[in-house]
Amino acid sequence: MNRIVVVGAGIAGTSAAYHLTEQTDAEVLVVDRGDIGSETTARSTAVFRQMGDPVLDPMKRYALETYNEFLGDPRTDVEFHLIGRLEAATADGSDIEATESVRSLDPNELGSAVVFPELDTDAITGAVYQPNAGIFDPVALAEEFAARARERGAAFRTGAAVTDVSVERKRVTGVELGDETVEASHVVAAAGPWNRELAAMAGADLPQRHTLAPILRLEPDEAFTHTLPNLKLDSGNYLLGQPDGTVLVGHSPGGYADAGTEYDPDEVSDTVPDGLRAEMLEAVGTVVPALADAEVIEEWVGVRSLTPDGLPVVGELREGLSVMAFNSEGIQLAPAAGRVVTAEVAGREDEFAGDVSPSRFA
Amino acid sequence: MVGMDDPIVVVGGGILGASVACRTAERTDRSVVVLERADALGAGTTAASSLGLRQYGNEVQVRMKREGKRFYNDLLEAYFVPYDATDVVLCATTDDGRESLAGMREAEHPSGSPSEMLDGDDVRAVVTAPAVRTEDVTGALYRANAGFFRDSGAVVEAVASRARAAGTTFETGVDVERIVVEDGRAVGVETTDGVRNASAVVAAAGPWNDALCRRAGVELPVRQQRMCVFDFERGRPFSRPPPKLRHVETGVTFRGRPDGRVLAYHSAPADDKYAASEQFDPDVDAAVGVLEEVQETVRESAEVLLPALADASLVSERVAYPSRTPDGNPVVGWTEVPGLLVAATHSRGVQYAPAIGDIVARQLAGDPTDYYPDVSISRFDGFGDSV
Repeated sequence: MNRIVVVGAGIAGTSAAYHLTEQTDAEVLVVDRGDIGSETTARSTAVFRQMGDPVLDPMKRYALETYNEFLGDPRTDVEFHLIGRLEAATADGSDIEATESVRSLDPNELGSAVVFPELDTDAITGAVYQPNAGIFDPVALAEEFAARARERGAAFRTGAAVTDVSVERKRVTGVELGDETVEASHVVAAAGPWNRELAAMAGADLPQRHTLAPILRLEPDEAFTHTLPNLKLDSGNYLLGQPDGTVLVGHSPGGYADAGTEYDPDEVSDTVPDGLRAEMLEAVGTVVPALADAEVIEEWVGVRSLTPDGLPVVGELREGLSVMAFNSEGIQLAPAAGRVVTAEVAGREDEFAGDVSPSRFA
Repeated sequence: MVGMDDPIVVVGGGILGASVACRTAERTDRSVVVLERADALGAGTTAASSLGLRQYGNEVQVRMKREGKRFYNDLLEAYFVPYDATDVVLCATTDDGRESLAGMREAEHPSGSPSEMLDGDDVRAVVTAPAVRTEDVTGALYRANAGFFRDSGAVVEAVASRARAAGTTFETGVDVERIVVEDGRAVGVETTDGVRNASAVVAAAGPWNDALCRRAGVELPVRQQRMCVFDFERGRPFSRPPPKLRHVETGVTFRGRPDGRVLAYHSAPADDKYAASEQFDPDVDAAVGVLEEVQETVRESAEVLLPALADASLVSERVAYPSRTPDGNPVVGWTEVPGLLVAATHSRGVQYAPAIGDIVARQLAGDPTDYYPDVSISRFDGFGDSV
């Protein structure tokens, strides 16, 4: 029995399948209750940026090498658009951390450093700008991982929900899809906000909490001359331009400490709550007045996962069950996480494994 | 004798001429006329420019570029001028080339945008540049926070619109043959369309400045480098257009465009670009055309850095004449002949144009400018101005 079942066909699960089929001889089966990249991955804004973080940056570098390879393949549907990222404070005394690669800018300087003519710099009290930031199409990335895994023999079963995890003598031995039991030598939980539930089915506890990631897609009255950068405000509201000229507006309420533990992702509706919608629109309309009257043409709500220390949780949770969980940033960290899980299954230790192992919370 | 009621005549309707007119018309009450010999504004050197905005150089250069970016932010708020962000990656394929890049980075003033030296292996881990081949890259200087205007006509037209709103007149299809100097003072221009009186003349004619000014008795410390410009087109678009990619050893630069084409240009690499340049008469030299060997160099460089161009077809080629100055800073303002001012750059005209326009406008208005010691013609031995 040498079958690995990956639960979840989002960016994490497809990356796992890609790496498992590349580096092991195991039979790989990916199951997903929906379609490839159709849940949390599809709801991601897929911003890619390296922040000078000593632990995360090497993982992101591996991701970019992987994605560069995808982009270089003439068959690919993957796209990348460089838009830059501006983190801005709108209240006095807000601290925005500058690093060597991210320079702090006085609001008066913004107009001479960043091409962002629509920004009302009078509404900004401080900012850092990071030009090397851009956006991928997250579903295209998951599909690319899946296509490559499939070419190497991985099987995908979509529309198949895991109803239970089989455990025998303290070892995870498979998953149940309704009446059907699928045996596995190893199960990989790559189910985003459903990971906690999966872990619980196996009797394990996963330190992962959730916040809502609501998105509004705005259509500006008049086309902008460029794609708006990713502008993140200290209030937690953010915006980012899209290649088609629309603008996504989102909200991130804070870190792990403020996040909920019992969000049931199945209960989250794709309608952005009224209060939050008003706050998001007000916040972006204040700094980019041209968006104040823009029409909301689409909206959805993702469920963002967070970890206690902001690092991914990747590795064996209990015997026979590994997890791939992120503190947001799944698109940027999934390639490294897939590599870590694969090394673990193959009995090797990946260079990233130590920093992301679940055992650090034991 | 001409009076101050006569207009200020700007020779050249490229980005420099339009910016000079715009900022002069906005600062002063005087009327401004721009004469462009082509049938459209920005059809000369500006059209051959890469239209990029970056933020590197010495202190003065960065200051001028920042002033330029501020101006363009205002411009883009009011006019639709498509702009695309890009990365700039300068690649070396020899040890000497890597040293030279490291030297360039050392020389960057810290007020510019952050840049980073990368090993060849690191390029594809830091920059989203799938088309770039890094096997032979010994080192790279990565400069982020760059971008370019998509269309030279759009940016020049937007600046011209602003200038028109402030009272400037633009005339195209008018070739200035001579600057009229009377009693040692520039008082007008002689054109294919007759003589125009002028209270001041601003030479903003790119590579045509030298001949114009020489006939008026002014030698310029400005030369031109012959630059061959190519447009390649692939059968299929790039999933991600290549960044602006320069090969330091060959002097070839590639830049992907959003429409899938790749612009390539070549100017001979030289430690001292001014010394390696001459004063071309572009009308005469253009007859030489693109040299076979330059095309070969571009193809060879593509094999090393951008192999995706191997099956691309060459859709156009032309020669351009970017100006070079002895110290790399622009040459702007009063000349030895009262009433004659010059606007010239060491390449990068689009980035410097707003600051240059402001310097000229201030001098015409009698206002001081902090830039004078760094951009005046008189900073060079043997060159003076009327101040």
